[in-house]
Amino acid sequence: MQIIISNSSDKPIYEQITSQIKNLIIAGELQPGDALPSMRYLAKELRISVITTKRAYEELERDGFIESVPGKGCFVAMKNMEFIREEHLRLAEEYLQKAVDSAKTAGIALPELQEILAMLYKEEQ
Amino acid sequence: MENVLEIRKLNKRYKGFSLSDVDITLPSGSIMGFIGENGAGKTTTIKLILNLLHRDSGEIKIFGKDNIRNEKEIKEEIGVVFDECNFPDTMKISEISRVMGHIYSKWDDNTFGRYADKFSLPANKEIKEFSRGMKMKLSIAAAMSHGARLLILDEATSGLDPVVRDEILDIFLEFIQDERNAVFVSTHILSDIEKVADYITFIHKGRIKFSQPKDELLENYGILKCSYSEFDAVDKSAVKGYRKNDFGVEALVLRDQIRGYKTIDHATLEDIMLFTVRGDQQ
Amino acid sequence: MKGLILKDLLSLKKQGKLLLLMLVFFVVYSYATKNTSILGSMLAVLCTMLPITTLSCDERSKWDKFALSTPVQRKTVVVSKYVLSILFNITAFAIMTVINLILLPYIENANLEETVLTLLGTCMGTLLILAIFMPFLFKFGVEKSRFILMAIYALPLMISGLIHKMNIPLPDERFLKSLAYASPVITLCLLLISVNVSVGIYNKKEF
Repeated sequence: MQIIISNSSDKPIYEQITSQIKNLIIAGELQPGDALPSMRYLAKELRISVITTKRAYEELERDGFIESVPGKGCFVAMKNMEFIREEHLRLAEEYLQKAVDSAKTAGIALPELQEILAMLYKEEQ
Repeated sequence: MENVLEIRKLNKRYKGFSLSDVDITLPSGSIMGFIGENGAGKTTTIKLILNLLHRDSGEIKIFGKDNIRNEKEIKEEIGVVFDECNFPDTMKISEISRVMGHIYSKWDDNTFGRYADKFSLPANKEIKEFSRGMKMKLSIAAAMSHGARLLILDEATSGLDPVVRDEILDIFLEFIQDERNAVFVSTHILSDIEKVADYITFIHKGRIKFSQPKDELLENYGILKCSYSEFDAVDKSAVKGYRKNDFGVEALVLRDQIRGYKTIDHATLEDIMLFTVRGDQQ
Repeated sequence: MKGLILKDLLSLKKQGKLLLLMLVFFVVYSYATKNTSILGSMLAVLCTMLPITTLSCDERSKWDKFALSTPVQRKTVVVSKYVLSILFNITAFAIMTVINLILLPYIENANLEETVLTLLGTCMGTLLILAIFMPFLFKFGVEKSRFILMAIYALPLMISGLIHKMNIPLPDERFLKSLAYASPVITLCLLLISVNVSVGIYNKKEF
């Protein structure tokens, strides 16, 4: 499992970790039941604060991607990955609906909106 | 996990300088950077923690115990590194190990030997022939060879080259892999702290300006660069310090209190410190 | 305390070698001049110097600051210096006595009892000087205390000079002898007082 963080990105470090691990899980590189490195070990290797990794793991757990077993560590959740993907798809649709509403109110046409979407999407990569 | 260090309302008055109502909490398993300009009170605070100075009032608890009433047992578990090597310079490292063995009940000669090897400290030279970096490494090796749970460093890394400092940061990170341990390091070298600290405490003229998780600090603050007129329009409660030059204004601001799509750059620890201290003088 | 004394002994290594050299020189000198009185004075000077040397070494390397961050208590630091001084004195006294015994056949006017008592007196005298001087060392540090040390050394000289001038009769030999025998007890009491004073000073000290 490789995690690469950037200090110069606008995205906070914990978010970078969260999205990278999420992607690894969704892509199947991390299977349900796989053990994640301990928060402390990850912090040491990436040379960042333990508070950051803790926050990342807490968010992953909140979103249902991982679960922590007291005394043993954190593991990729046994939950149905499809279900999680559905959940995020629903959220994305919800946000896009808001964007569409906003655009319509200001008379912004679909092509322009699509352009913005494409630009934003590329920025995230 | 309990807090390794708890300081409450610490006060110490000197002629011309006083430490006022200092509050610091260091949770176990973390590294705290203690920063501030020269003369701000960093060394005074550390000396008060170690009872080298007598406090006027306030409370200091280490591992949950009072630092004066339980002084002897607490000090078994504190490893201290000052800015110079405090051993007599005619001694050799084997002799130091012998002496320390009588001072600390949990002194481990093997651990010391391993650090000495790791740091390539010469076994048969007197300390006076060591370079500054080697002397520091020796002090650190000694601090880590008696089962300490709290490491306190007072400007121990100034004057060391980046390579050595990097090695020392690795040692800190390794040290806190054990959740019961903690590191309290006072330093001027903010770039080091910015990398590995979990918490930052900033002291200025004897008072604590802030004590927060490092991430929060770096996320919340930013450097706003704008024109004089734009600056006038900004909500002043969001500004923590600013610098005007002939062509515009640079200000340390709380990001989420600045409305509008203005350019807000990342603030480094150094920025935060400089603006807080010098921004005072505007 | 063992650790502190060990550290002091180890840091005096260099001086130790010098000392040995001087000792050899003076032994030869005494043999040559058939007079061992110089050994006694050497003992006195050296024994007052050594604790000062260790304190000076401590000051240079800022050892106290570090020592007090360890489990070593302030009281222990003070007491260890006294113990070290007493150990030096007793060792020096023993060595000098042995040397005198060995050189006895070669010395003019050799009187064993007198020699030993003189050595004892010197030994106790040195400890007395230390008892007076140590609290000053702890309070003011080595540099500032040098003048005080010179004054303390000068005092007996001035007093004996004064006694001479004023023609005050010296106490008789028997009195001096009993004084010499009693000196360890007197010195011990004074040392105990001194230790307490020093500990009080050191406890209040800020580093």
